[in-house]
Amino acid sequence: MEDHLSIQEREISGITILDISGRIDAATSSHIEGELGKKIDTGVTTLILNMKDLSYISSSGLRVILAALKRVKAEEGTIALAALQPGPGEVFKMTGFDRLFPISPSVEQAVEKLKS
Amino acid sequence: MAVYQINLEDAITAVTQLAEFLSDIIEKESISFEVENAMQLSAEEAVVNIITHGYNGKPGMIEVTCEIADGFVTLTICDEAPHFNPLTIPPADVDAGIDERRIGGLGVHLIRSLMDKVRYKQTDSGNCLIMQKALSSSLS
Repeated sequence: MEDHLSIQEREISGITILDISGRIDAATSSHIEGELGKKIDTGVTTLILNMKDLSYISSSGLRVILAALKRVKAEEGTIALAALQPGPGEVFKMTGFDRLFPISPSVEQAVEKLKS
Repeated sequence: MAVYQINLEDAITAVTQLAEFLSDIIEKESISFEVENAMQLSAEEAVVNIITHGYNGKPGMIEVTCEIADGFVTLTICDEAPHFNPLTIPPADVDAGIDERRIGGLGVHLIRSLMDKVRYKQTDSGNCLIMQKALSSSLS
């Protein structure tokens, strides 16, 4: 079972991308909370979360990324989501989180949107 | 008809144990992706609520039963925590903007949205939440 969460970092056009794969549940949400916290602490306020390989997210995960969004918004930044898969996409829609975050079909499109 | 059961006692490993327990059933019963996501989410949200609010993070028994019968999956999650009906939690405001947004109540909102029927039963020793979903969308 793909039950672990892995997070890789890269940059495109100076924008930080976190490639997230696996599951964000109550057991793994502290992992992404730590990674997002570290980035924001170092002054990164514009981030793209690439969710192409994220198979699952529960309310524990929503709680963490909402808290991060609130922090970066206070610094005029944002967190964009890219390549949401059907399961997590349904969760974002059902909870109205799809209206809180800019969402793009791909990382490349998210980068373009942030640059414009 | 097939009945599967697991007892979760350790709050630290409960969520991972639960996900693996359901994953095995989903594979064995060839359950569709849509139903899989609903089962995993509803069960996790219910169990996390019990650990966090029912037991306040202290150890406590959580019994999860998954029954597959007559085209439906039924998840029954029972605890020995003080009596509390989670279905009385006010609905989450999913239209609120970022500044007004509170995270509380989202778990129960997801359970209600994803499952076809949700019922609460008070028992002598605690609480049971019974959640049902059709295995094929034409039955719901």
